Amino acid sequence: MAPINRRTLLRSGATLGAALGSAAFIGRAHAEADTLTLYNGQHRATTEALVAAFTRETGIKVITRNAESPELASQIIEEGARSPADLFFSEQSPPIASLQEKGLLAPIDAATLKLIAPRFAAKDGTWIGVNARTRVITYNKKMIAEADLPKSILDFATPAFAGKFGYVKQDGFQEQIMAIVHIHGSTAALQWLKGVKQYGRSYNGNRIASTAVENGEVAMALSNNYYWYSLAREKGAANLNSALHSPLGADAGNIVNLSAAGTLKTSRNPQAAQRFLAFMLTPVAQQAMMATSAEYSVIDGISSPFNLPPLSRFTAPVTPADMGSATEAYALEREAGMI
Amino acid sequence: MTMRFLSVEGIRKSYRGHEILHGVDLKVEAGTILALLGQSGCGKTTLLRLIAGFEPADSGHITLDGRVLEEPGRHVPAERRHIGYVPQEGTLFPHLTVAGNIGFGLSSTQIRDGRVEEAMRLTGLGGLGARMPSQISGGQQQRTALARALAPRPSLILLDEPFNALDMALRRSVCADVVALLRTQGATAILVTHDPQEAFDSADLIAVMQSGRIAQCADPATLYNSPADIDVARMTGPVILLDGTLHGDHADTMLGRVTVQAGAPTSGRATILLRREQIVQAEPGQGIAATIHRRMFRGDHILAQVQAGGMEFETKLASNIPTSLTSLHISVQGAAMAYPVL
Amino acid sequence: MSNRLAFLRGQIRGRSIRSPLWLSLAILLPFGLVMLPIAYVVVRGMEAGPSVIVSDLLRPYTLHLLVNTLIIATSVPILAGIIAISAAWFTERCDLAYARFWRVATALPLAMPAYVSSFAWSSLGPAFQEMGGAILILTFYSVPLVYLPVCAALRGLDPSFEDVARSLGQGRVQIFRRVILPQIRPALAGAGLLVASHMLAEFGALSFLRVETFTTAIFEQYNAQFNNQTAALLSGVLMVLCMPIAFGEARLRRRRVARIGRGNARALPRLALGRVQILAQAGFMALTALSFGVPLVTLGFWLAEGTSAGHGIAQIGPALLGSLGYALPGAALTTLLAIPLVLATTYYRGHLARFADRLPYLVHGMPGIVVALAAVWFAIRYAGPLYQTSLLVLLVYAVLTLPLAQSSIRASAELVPRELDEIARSLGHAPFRAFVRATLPNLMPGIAAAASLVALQSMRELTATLLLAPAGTVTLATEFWNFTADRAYGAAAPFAAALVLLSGVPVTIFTLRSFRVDE
Repeated sequence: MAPINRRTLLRSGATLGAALGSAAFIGRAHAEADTLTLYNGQHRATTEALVAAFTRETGIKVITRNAESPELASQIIEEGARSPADLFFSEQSPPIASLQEKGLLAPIDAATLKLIAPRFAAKDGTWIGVNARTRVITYNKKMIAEADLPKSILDFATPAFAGKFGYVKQDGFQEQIMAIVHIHGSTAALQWLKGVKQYGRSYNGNRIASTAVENGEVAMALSNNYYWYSLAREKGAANLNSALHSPLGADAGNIVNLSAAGTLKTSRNPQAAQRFLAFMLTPVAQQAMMATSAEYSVIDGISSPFNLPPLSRFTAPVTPADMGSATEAYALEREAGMI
Repeated sequence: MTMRFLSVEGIRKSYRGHEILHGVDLKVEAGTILALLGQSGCGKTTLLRLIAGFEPADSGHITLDGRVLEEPGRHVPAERRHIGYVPQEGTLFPHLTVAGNIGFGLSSTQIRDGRVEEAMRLTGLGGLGARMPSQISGGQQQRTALARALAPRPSLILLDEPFNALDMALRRSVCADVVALLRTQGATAILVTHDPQEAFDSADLIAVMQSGRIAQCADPATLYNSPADIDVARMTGPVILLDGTLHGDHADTMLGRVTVQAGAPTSGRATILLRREQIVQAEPGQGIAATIHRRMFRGDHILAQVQAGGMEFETKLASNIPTSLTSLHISVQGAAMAYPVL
Repeated sequence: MSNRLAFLRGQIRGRSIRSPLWLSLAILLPFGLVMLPIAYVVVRGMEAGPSVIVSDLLRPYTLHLLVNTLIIATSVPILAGIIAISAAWFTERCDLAYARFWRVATALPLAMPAYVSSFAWSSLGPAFQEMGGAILILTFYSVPLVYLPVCAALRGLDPSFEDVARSLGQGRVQIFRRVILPQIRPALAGAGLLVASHMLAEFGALSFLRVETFTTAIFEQYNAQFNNQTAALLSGVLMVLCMPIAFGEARLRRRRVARIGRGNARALPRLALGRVQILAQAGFMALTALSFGVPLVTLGFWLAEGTSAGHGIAQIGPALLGSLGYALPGAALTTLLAIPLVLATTYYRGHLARFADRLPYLVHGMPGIVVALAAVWFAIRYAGPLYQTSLLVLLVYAVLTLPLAQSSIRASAELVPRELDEIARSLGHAPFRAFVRATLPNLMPGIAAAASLVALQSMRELTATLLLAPAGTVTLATEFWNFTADRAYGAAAPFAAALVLLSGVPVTIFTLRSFRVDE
């Protein structure tokens, strides 16, 4: 069962933490031949599960630095050629794509890239998707009837939904803007952003927005799917006021996002780093990660312990690679006066 | 019977069960400067604070110019007494200028009428109005504090050892300035001090306070020459004490026969009190033999440690006696006070 | 002219004195450290080029941020000041029952990190979000920062000022307005400015409460564009906003008049409350309930409710040790760096010293991410072996918290005359030894206060710890962040509770101790 799994993992993590904590004042652990340094922006529980399984199988130790993905990307850019990082595991694809655009990432072994569908990897093969999740609309069942939910997220930019929805300017939102640009063009995306700014409520985090919906503070919110499932695990799905909705068809409300990983050109241990990336896509690793968060596997044949709808249902014609580092989304958000 | 301007009767005050004032009586005529003289801890500051109204008395009466300020069941607070107050070290408000300090107790109309300038002119502070207290000298600070107290034209001014913070030379001159100013204003004032010289210099009347009581209240000369008891005598200057036997208007002592002031007992054993300046060098062949042990040149006199009649005491000798002189004859000049031995 | 300045500076009479060599050298380290983030912001900002700089700064969005930032940075200190003065008046100048208890209770919100209390409040409902909620919550959070120095100032007043004012016909209200308020104004305004600079840098709370300020926008820029220059430009604006705070604080101090030697001889009179006593008790109950009770109850609720509770418990020990392991050396290092800055400006004169003394206040308003990235930028290039070691983290803590230490130490230093040092020199001690033997022991109350404030603040630091600590470092703050990021409030609650408890100990001891000194 998942909870038992998790407790064991946390316990081993605690031991590791204590060991490193006591070493803290001796200084930074220097990279050894059988050690990798991972900058991790993905939820820590997910990564801990992965790293534990990797070390068990290969004997290669992994030193993990946890922080928010965009901060880690900024850090790697500041570090430049001297970065101690061998690997970067980002919660979203745009931060790692920004490293890709700056030419900091090394190509990933062809054998590894073959394990996943091309739509789950960078076009130049410098990063791979590790988990997939979907953008959803979380809604409060008591505040809005299922029939009244928008058929497209473009509907949010209309007065009909004024004051009824929340949005979060990071963590999935920019991918959504890029999807609108791809499907409808930049002008439509700008119009949409202006509408969202005018009619929606801005929240500073997907989980805050999801909680706001659950608490009846706002009827709907644009979010990632797994926040609702984590709330459901904590309180029991039957006890929740909120539920998930996704528009159908070629809509930007229907996109798949990735957590993504890659290795740096400056890695001092490229072979081990490539092994780690390959390991991320093995069934055992994917299965372990699936246990901790309501996400989809990027490889076939792995099912989630969470009751997820099939990934094939999310059919927006745009891939994470198309979105890149979302530079255009940023420009549009600025033009709309949103940031 | 004359109407007393300030009348203090039977004032008592305790702090934490310890009585500081044991029923103080004091009368002050209008236009008088009274010095309240006493050692620290005698209760003089407490008495001043009760007159100012900072705290209520436990019992007793205070009236000022016919107005009852304090009586059982009635306490007029300080802000409604119209009594000026100059605390130790002046205590100027550090955040206000000199003019701001002086105008502190004035209404805006009074300030417009030039009362601040008037007070500054009186106290010789002209041109310093815009300075901060930290930018003027100690003497100027003291005069500012006085100007601030005078500006609202109070009916009585209380000065609580106001010259303590000044050095000795400045202290005398500032004190003289302040007294001159109070006199030209015809002000009624009470000056608390522990320095007898300051009290003599400034006051019409001196009230000596001892352990919570007024021991004697009199003009400076009376107080100095006819102190009510030995403690009052000590408070007002150096003393020479002799054992003596009274015989009518004189007493026999180790320094020979000494005339006794009128009003003293006429027989029995007594302590005879002399001031240092009453001992003088006698004409050759007269007086008693004395030896000089130590001498200090003081300019207008010589302070000499003298042995005579089996005792040692300090006395003032003329500054022109030769340095080689070690023995001489002395005699007592003027009348002495005599206190019966109990 | 020099004479006049010397008077204003309290201790120095007559001549200007150059600081000893050891002191001049000792201020170079904090000076250099604080220059780093400033240089970083300038370098990165300039990379944007003049046209981008102009167009970025003149966007309507920048104005929106400016307005929000200014509203928060002015209203919170003012409201907190009003509440703090009232509370201090009741505990110090009235016969308030249980005054000892209420002093500690009023100071305790200092132990509650703003992101914990704002998280607690915002979970109560939308009424406590956005600008109104942010002002309310941050005001309660800031009250202790003003309350403690105002209490100290109130207790330090010479009662003769009030006597003089009464003899000049002034009633209670007038005395408060014309005599007491002007005298506590330096303490009040100094604390207010410190709160204002905290507000400029506040991120966690404002992001929970959905208020956009320069700091939240800076984080947003990093989120959206990864190392772009706009973040540096906004940081530059923040720095400019900090300037009046940095120099305002210095001006206030110059007006302060040091009184040496005489304490107040008489105890300060206390006002009898009579029937107002009950109202006052109710007021303190409400204040404590709002500022400390609500977040504490919410924490308790999380602890009890979440089904995930207990999962992270195994981490508590290491996280506790991690927090202490960074906060305590951080406090020691920061205090050590702050002492020379304070001495060089309190006892001596010199332009460099005064400049070095002001700089930390400019950086104090900067968000942690900017200072952390500046440390990355510098350390990786010029101090490689230092990168991602504990020492670098401690240095960043110092950059972030120096003003807290400076203010506390300065409060003590102003009471210690420089003559002490001169006497020690005349007795044959070399300058540094003279300082250690004569001046330092008298600075200890300020140093202790500085160390506890810095330790409190460092325990809450998140971004720099995450980016710069040796990999695997866990602290209470990182674990709280980790579990709330996973939505596991129940699992996060023990870490928040431990952080509050751990902070509560120094706050309580510090408050009781500082009040006992004068009683």
